[in-house]
Amino acid sequence: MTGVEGVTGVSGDEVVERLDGLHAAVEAGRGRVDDDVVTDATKAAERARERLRLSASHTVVALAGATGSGKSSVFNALIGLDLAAVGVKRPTTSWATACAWDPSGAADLLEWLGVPARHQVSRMSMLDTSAEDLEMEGLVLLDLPDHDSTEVSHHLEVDRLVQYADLIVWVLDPQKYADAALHERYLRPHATHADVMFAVLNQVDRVAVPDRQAAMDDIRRLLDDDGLQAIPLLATSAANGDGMPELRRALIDRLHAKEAARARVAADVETLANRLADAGGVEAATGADETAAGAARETLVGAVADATGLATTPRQVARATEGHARRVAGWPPLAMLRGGGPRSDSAVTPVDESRLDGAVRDYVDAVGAGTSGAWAAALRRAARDRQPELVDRLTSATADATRAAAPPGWCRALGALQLLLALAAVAAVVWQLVGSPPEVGGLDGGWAGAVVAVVALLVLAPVAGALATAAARSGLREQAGTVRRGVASAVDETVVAAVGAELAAYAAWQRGLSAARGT
Amino acid sequence: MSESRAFAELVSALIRLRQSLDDVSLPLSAPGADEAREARRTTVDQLEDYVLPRLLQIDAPLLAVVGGSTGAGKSTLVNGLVRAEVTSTGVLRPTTRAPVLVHHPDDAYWFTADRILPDLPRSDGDAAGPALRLVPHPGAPRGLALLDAPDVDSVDRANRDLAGALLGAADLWIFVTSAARYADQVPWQVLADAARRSTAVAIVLDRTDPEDAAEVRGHLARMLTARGLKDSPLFSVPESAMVDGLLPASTVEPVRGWLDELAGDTAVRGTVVERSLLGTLRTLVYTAHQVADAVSQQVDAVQAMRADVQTAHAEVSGRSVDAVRTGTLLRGPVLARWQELVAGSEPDRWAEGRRAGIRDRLSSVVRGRQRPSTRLEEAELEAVSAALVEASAQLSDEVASRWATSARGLVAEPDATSRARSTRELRARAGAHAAAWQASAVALVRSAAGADGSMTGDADRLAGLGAVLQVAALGGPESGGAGSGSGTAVATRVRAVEEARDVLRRALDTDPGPLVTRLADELRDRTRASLAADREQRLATVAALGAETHHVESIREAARTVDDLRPASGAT
Repeated sequence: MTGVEGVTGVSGDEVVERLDGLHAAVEAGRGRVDDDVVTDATKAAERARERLRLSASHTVVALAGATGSGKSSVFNALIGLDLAAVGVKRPTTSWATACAWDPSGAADLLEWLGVPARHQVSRMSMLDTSAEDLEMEGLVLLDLPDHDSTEVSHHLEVDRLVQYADLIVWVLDPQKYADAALHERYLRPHATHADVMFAVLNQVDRVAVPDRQAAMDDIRRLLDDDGLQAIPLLATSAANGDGMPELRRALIDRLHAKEAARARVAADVETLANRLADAGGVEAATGADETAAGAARETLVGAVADATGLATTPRQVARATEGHARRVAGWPPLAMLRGGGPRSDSAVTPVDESRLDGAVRDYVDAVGAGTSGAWAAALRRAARDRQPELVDRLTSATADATRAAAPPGWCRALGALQLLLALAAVAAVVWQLVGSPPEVGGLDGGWAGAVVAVVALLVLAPVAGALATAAARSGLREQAGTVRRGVASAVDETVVAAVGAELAAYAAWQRGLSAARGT
Repeated sequence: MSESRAFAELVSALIRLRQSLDDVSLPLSAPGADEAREARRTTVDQLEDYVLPRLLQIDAPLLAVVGGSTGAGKSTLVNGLVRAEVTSTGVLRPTTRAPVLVHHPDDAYWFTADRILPDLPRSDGDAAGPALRLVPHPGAPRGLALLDAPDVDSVDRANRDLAGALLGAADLWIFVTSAARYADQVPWQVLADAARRSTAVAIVLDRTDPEDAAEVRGHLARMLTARGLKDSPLFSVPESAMVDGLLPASTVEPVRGWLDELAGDTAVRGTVVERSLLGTLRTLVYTAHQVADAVSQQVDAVQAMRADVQTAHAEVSGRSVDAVRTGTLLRGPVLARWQELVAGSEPDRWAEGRRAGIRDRLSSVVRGRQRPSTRLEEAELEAVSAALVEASAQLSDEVASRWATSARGLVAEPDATSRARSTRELRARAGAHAAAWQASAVALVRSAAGADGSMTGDADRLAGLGAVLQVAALGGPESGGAGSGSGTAVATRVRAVEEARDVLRRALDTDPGPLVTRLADELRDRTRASLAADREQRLATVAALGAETHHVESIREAARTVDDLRPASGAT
């Protein structure tokens, strides 16, 4: 199948690729782009997929046209039987009639088309199988009701089957070829389907021979105005057979190329993709590229940290932590005197939600630059929905940051050692006064012990203080880093993640649509 | 009431109706709005083109409009009736682009000036475009003009609209169809209009094979009966070879005879004119009420949009004012800066009027002489302006989401550029409010301290105390601050407010409560003013839509008057 390259040059694989692209775009756009458009596209894509699954060796050709344009006469002339009702009373045909050449494989197709068995006829099952019929093998010809009569049910049937046919032959007639009903409702909306449509000026016998070219030129002009420059235009007369062989030939050519179904699906996919693109936009998301988005995220993290008041907290915490460490490590009486210094119970400052809100809005505007309408709104919505969670996480991160770090264990050990030394000094004095300590190096043992303890204490106290300060400061740097990382991860895991997911969906949407349009 | 008086009143009511329909706007794309717009336009056109001119010149010749589908052979029929090639025919569709009016030379008075179809420009030559081409021809009957109209179902929209307008102005329709055409939907819709207006209609079945004629004619007659047109004369003109480019006289004879009869008998002519006119007035009143219904729906929708703005404003404004009252604005950077300053005992220095220590002064010189309160002031400016911006942004979101349902399709999502611009404007306005508020704080401190004059000249101290007053005011107008939120957060805020008030008390030697309340109230008022400006902007957008109740009323009033006077004028 894929090897056949004909009029339209769309291979089977390519059509499947385009359909997959459309599917991806629809999935990405669901809930973000206008629901009606997405739902329509889903249904149409479903129909297209269904058609590809059904017989690829059959081609459904629909004859469509106004009342009295001679669809049924053309139908009868093509199948060589007086099957479809022809009459002067309008409208004549009330339901679609189908004629299948080689009906064996077409049953599923006809069921899918929704043409009941009583309105079907098969050409090959009849006895008069001729060379001509063999040539037409694989054709399913539909005679549609009119699209412009007072019978509204006819229009609905036409609207339905026009979506299903692989190839549509618009039967025009000299009186009616310029009707608004035809051009505005059917031809203009199918401008992307020029490859899978034919226009036929029937009843050409009613136009005087010298005027025929002018009439054909005029129709060509109207078709060009509809955006259908590529649609083939033939002149026929079902009544006297003029032009019928050419029409038959043209149909047979399409039939043998066996790609009308694919071409039709490709045209449908293009139309749908264009409609989706109109609804959601496919502009490049200039703000979403890596450098721009990275810079925007940096700005956001900075602005959020500012909004929490964390920019000032570390210094304040530094004082508290330092004081605490010194108190713990210092000589107990001195440490108690220190109590009047900077406050140790550093406080939680609630996040400034207004500033946070502004920062998030700026971020969304920056990374969403280039996206239009529906997608820009989706980005804003995604960010806004995660904002409360961000505030919660920032609050806990802030609480961690403002808690003064506990001094390391050895600070306490130093403090305990100093306390022991002080106690030892006191004990030595008491021993000297109450007991009789031995002499050490010519001095009373008690006094000597007290002096040693006091000297050790005097040496140890400042050293311990300095050590504690150094430890507190290094711990604080670490803590500031931790806090900053905490803010960054809170921002990343809420707003940035949510917006990132939307941007990823937008990228999938763009990719899908560009695949669907074959660009 | 005399008849002439009733007549004058009818005319004036019709003019009022035309004016009120002209004034009205249907800005929203509600269901049925397109139809109502179309109805309004055609009604105005009909009043201008037909009803008023016809009422004022009841003796003017009958205007018979030859209308129908493209390719049905209207022009050929007109030429055949006049027995001269007065209008162009051809195989190309649509053929008749400029409408052609054929009248007897004696009737020229009525047509040359803008008595009939006053809005349509005249062209005497063959100029193309939507101009009425007048062709005086002795072949036309006296007292009846034939107008060859464009196709009602033409692919060219301008052509279609013009056809509609001309049919609306007809005293008599000659509806031309063909065997291939007679069941088309579009012309039947137009015919249904004629039946509603009780316009006299003659149907000409053109281009029919003689052998099919009987069957088609029978079917067509049944369709006419089913659609309330059974009294209309039905003529068939068989498809036949042209004689000198015209239909053979014999084929058009029945139609011509009927027209001559109409044109010749003044009484019959008067009846035809009156019937169409009264029918038109009846449908006109009906349509006017329909338009009024549609306008009324739109007025309701616009009211709903207004209500949306008000509700959204009340909600956001309430929330923002609440935030000022409960002191939740004292948070984040402002609070952190305050704590930092308190930790360094800086506010105590401002309170006691002490000079900064040598070390501090040295460091401030090295840093480029920044006063100690600068960073707190910056944080306060930022906090207030961010709060104002957020409130406006919330209002804008709220209104947009409400309008998304009440005014679907009318208010487009702003694109990135316009959103960026409005954000910039919003920030500038909020920044101005915040700066003015800070200036008020300093002014309040200065006036409170002004009594002893000790502080004039010490700008740093004044600014510092102003910043302290702002901290207290952000914490709420009431002492202690009501507070909301988690326990520790409230405790932090309450303590900061107490500290700030204490600093002020010591510095100003008086209870700072009234000052704090005044500054907090000013913040509340500025928040309200800023949101009120946003609300007014939205309301102005709504007002610009121009759907007002009085429009509905004036249409209904004029339509009622026309309806009341209608039967009375029937006697004229």
